[in-house]
Amino acid sequence: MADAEFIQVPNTLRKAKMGSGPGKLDKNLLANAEKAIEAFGEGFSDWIQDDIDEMEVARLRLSQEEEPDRALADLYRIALDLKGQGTSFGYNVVSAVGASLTDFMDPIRESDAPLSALQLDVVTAHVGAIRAVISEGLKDDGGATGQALLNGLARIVAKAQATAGP
Amino acid sequence: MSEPTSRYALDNLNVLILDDNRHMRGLVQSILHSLGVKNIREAADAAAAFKELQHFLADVLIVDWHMEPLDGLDFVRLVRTAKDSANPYVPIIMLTGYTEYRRVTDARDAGVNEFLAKPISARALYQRFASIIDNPRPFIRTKNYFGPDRRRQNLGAPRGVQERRKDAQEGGGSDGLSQSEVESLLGG
Repeated sequence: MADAEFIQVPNTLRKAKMGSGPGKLDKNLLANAEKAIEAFGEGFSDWIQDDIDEMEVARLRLSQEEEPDRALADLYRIALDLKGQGTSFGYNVVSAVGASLTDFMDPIRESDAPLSALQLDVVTAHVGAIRAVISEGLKDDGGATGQALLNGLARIVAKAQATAGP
Repeated sequence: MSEPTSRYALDNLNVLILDDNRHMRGLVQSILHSLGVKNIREAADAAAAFKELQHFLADVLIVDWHMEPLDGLDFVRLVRTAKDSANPYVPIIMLTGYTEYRRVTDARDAGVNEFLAKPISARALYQRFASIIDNPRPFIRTKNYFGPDRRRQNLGAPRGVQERRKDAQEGGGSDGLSQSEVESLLGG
């Protein structure tokens, strides 16, 4: 860091604090914000239908080898979005399925090899699982059904990874 | 003697949200409104956000990572280093579903101030604002980096991070980091 230049930046955010000393988060504002998330999330099970339909279209394109790179990118984007949204709106299993699918797809996206039939099955199972979670209204940890879905996905992912090798 | 107390006044801030997912933009906007932020702009892609910054004096940017054609990291680099950047010093919160070690260090090295892992919570977002307000960082310019000082505090990484760092160096370890591990990596 011999050639590092340190620049003291004017603190433009001073206007966002009243008083001095350690700031405190306002509990009332925080409670309002939590309520806002809850209210916003009431539409989640409806708007996620568009995402599920889009995933289904991308999955079909993958199976028909129609612009597979584009289809993979679309699937990944939606899975990452769902991973990031589910838990915020009480659908922890949706986040878990999204996380499972993005983890599974990470090495695939870095590889030039076409998707195997088993890998496509894994993708199909994830899309189906998200559809089931929403249609059955499996909120929070999804109960026994939600956990069974996640266990099933973990098994099929493990099988596909074992087949693909290290 | 009791310590003086202070409160945050987020209503004084201009915030720009960049996310290609309209539901996520709506959610973040809804939380910010509830926390008192009144002046919020949205953009669905990096080019539109960069253009918006030419006339919107944003105090804080909230940026999603996974976008096309330019992703969140490209956008952060643009804001920090482009000749026509309206404010290279603006604090940036990276909001993303990525929490892997490599991703967090990439974000840090692009010049983000704070990293907020999805799923988002109101408290976590509020805390990121508090951190930016309470702990302004000097900027560093080197041959390879321009952005907030990455060595603001040398608290040392928790054990989990050290292990993952080793994993990452050895090419493995894709497990996500917790928010506290992320903060440690970012020097927060």
